[in-house]
Amino acid sequence: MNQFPILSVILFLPLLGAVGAALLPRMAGWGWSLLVTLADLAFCLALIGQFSTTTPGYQFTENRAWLPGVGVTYALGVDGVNLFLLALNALLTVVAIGASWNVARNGDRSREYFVLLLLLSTGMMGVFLATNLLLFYVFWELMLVPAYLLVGMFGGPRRAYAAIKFVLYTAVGSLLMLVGIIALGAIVSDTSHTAFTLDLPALLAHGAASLPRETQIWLFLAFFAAFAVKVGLFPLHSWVPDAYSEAPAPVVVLIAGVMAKTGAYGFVRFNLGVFPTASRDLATLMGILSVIGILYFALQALVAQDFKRLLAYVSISHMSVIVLGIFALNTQGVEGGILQMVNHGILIAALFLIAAYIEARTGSRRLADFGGMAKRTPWLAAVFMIITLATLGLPGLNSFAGEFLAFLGAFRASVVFGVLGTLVVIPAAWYMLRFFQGVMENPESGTVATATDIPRGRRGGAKLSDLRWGEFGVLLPLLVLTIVLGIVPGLLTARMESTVQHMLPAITASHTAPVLPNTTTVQR
Amino acid sequence: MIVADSAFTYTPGAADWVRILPELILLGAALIVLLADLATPAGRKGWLALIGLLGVAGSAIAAALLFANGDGQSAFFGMIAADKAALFADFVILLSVGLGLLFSPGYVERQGITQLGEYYALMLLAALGMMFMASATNLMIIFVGLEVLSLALYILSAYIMSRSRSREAGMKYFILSSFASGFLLYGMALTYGATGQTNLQAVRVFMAGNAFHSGTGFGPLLIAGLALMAVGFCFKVSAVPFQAWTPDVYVGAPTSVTAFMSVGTKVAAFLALARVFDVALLSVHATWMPVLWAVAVLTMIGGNIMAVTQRDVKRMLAYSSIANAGYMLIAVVTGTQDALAALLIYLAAYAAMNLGAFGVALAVERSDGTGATLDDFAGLARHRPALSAAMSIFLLSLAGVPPLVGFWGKFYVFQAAIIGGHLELAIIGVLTSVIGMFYYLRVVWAMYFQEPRAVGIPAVSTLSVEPPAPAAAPASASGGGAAVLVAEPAVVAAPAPQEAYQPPVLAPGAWLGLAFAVALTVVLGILPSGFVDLAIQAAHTILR
Repeated sequence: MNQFPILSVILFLPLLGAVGAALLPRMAGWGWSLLVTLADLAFCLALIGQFSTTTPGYQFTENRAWLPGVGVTYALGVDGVNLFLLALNALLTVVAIGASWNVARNGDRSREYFVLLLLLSTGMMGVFLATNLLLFYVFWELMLVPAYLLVGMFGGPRRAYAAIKFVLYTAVGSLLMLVGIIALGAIVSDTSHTAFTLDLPALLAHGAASLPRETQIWLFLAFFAAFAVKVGLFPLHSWVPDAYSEAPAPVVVLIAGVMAKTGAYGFVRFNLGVFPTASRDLATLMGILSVIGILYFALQALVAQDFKRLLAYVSISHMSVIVLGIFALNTQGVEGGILQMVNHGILIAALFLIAAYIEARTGSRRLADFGGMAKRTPWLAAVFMIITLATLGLPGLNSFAGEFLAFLGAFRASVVFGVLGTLVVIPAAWYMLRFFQGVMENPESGTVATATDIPRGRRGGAKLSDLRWGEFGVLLPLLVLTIVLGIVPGLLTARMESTVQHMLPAITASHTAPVLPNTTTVQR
Repeated sequence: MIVADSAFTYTPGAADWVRILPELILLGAALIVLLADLATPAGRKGWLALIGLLGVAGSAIAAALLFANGDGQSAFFGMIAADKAALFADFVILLSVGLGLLFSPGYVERQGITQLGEYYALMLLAALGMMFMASATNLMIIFVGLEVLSLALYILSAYIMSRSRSREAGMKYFILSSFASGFLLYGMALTYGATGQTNLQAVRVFMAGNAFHSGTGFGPLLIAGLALMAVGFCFKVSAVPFQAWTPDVYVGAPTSVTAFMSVGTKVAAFLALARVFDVALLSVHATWMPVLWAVAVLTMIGGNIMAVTQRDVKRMLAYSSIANAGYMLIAVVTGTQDALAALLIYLAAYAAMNLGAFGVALAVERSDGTGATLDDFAGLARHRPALSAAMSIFLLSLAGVPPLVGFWGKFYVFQAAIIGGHLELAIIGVLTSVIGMFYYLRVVWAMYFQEPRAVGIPAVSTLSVEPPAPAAAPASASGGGAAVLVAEPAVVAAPAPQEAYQPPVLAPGAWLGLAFAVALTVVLGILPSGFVDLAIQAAHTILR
């Protein structure tokens, strides 16, 4: 307990940033926010460096009393499941702050904007770190409010509708989860004759994971409600296209890049970790929902006219792949799922930023308005192409390893799901190329031809400006990671392995999946 | 033990008076206010609020000392409890009357209230009645406390005599509430008839000793008594289907009074309800439970759904207070010690956030009592950022978003319900909370997502765009709720043409009150263990 409380530091640094952003003038607030989030990222990297790859349980744990009577503690911990999600959150917060330079420069209410952005980041950090169920819930709700306000205050024309829809969808889910949390605590304290607690390790020690099947299924569904909404799993996805397409790009970076992962993370941490029997029995249902989602959202992306909506569907289609992997309930599937959470975060953030850059240059999001931009903006086209190829799963770029593992896991669990899920590579290639080619290649269309660098008109005239240095700087870390993680995904999987392998036997009690040396295979 | 034979006499000792010291101090303050009123020149009546506040502070200190050092015995031969539950309730009532007093100076003058001495004295007397009702351990004292608080509130509701809405509120409250008091009294009389006791402890002993058979003579009597008392209490806590008076009274009364009474009356009535049903009548829990269960469910659903359609924020808060009564009823229905602790936690949380929300509504209200509709809140964040932030915190807390204090109220109530075997109430509570989230967040939406309407901005360039806008404001205000209230066209038409509505300047007291409420909502939300602990201790004493 006397060690340096690195997790608390990581958790509360963005909050410190929020305080500074509230007090400082606009540009100074931006600089301060960037500085603090960079420091946060540095702490996350230090954490990854210090992380022991052989310990399956929580590391760097912190535990302080908060509300002793009802077993609510301030308990944090990191293991192979959430380690990289912390880093992803820190990274994408830096990217989002960096990309919000325009807001700081000339937007009004920029103070509120940065405060909310950093609060959102704090909330998500807390969700990943909390090992007490109620602390988890507190942060879960804490991220809802800033997200609501960010979409509603700074979004597009239909922002109020999108914001309220988002809140109502997520509120139903999370409040049901609250009932589930309390019920879990009550049932466990009842069956084990111990004091009421909501500490996850204590609950598991008191036999939370071996409740009767019926109970597990109800509790599984209560948690499922919260997580499936956040992931955007079919059929609870309908808030996603609205929220993603109305929110400003840096906010989508956080919502699509990180917040969607909180749902998938919840599936791994709670549904798999606490309700193993229900997870096994409902795995088929989860597989069906995921496969429907994967294909249906891919088809939606194929016909979307607005490219932000297209990306929203791309995002939830890929999120469904992650869920499919998780509920394959084998090492490959779960590891692939977690790995893909990180990769998806990186790629979807980059895609939404590129989409925002294109929109800022032309003032349009309608695919029909575009064509031939590459000639005028070659650098933007180049970056866009790398991200596009990564998204459609080109080997050597990051998404390949994760999706490969997830689909491999799905195949091993069920050939049907594997085949159906993998079918998505066809529409995936199609919709990504439709987006890329439609905008960048093809004959030059009217809008692009006449667009005159709408955003600031710095260079005016009939010339579309190419990627600016600032914009490139924001994309650069994402681009680097896309390539690096494509070449050495083992950097990540090596640190997940022991946790995941420790977690799975409880679920697949009957058949033990032989552990393939998958990380090394994929590395080559 | 407590047998009233003819030779019985009871001489109150000093200890009895000490046990009701908080009430006595408040009474003294009320009397001093009345006297000081004579010596205070018009225009300086704000000092009276200060005297009242000093009285409230003194009373709170006395309650704190009793909480820490008191023996927890009842005063005056089991009439008035000085247990920790009573003292906890006293705190909450004192908090709400204190905030109500802080909000008053400036606001009451703006609303054209003239007799300020009586106004402040009546506020204190209403609080006195609430404290008596919350501490009563005898059916008679419950009724006396109830009447003290009700009489004071009837007058206060009708205090803006120049405004028909306020007169109507007072009249409506008076007639319906007297009617409900009659029910309650009748129920108490029948209960006395069935048990031969008015002391709650004695009733409890009687009930435990005489296993309840509905076939025997006192059975039907007791059932009728229970039913009538339930009706009376449900009216007082504004539970569905006895809620009809609430919105009209809350909107018509001066907002400072509404803020105070929406919380204080609930504290008093819920404490009495808990003492009667969860303590005295616990052994017939199975008999009354289904009735209050149904009332709780109806209240949660009805209150929340009716709140959705409101455009007047005060009216919305009135329906929200109905909905909140439903959540508190969950605790009463569950009736375990955990549940009573949860009830106290909920009440304390509700005091901070609800008074705060009414405080903000009061701050944006115009001198004719209108101006608290969603349209008036539109774009408030642009020109009143601090006020909007405070309102958002209160509303989010009411919606039960952690880590604000309202969340802990809901958490403890739902936890007690689940552990106490009422999972279904927790689920209904959770689902109706989502409806609540919609209408609370709609105000946040108006404040932050909408642009200010021309009528709301003090003299900015956009004023010329919308010439008919000023006329629209009174129309939308009266169009808000069930159109029972007829806006007087002559009165409304007069101030409307004055362009460029200036948002009222908040008196320092109101700022202080809002800051205090924000601090409570946030700090108790982040560090709830202290007050939760006190509430749990308090709940221990109520069941003894």
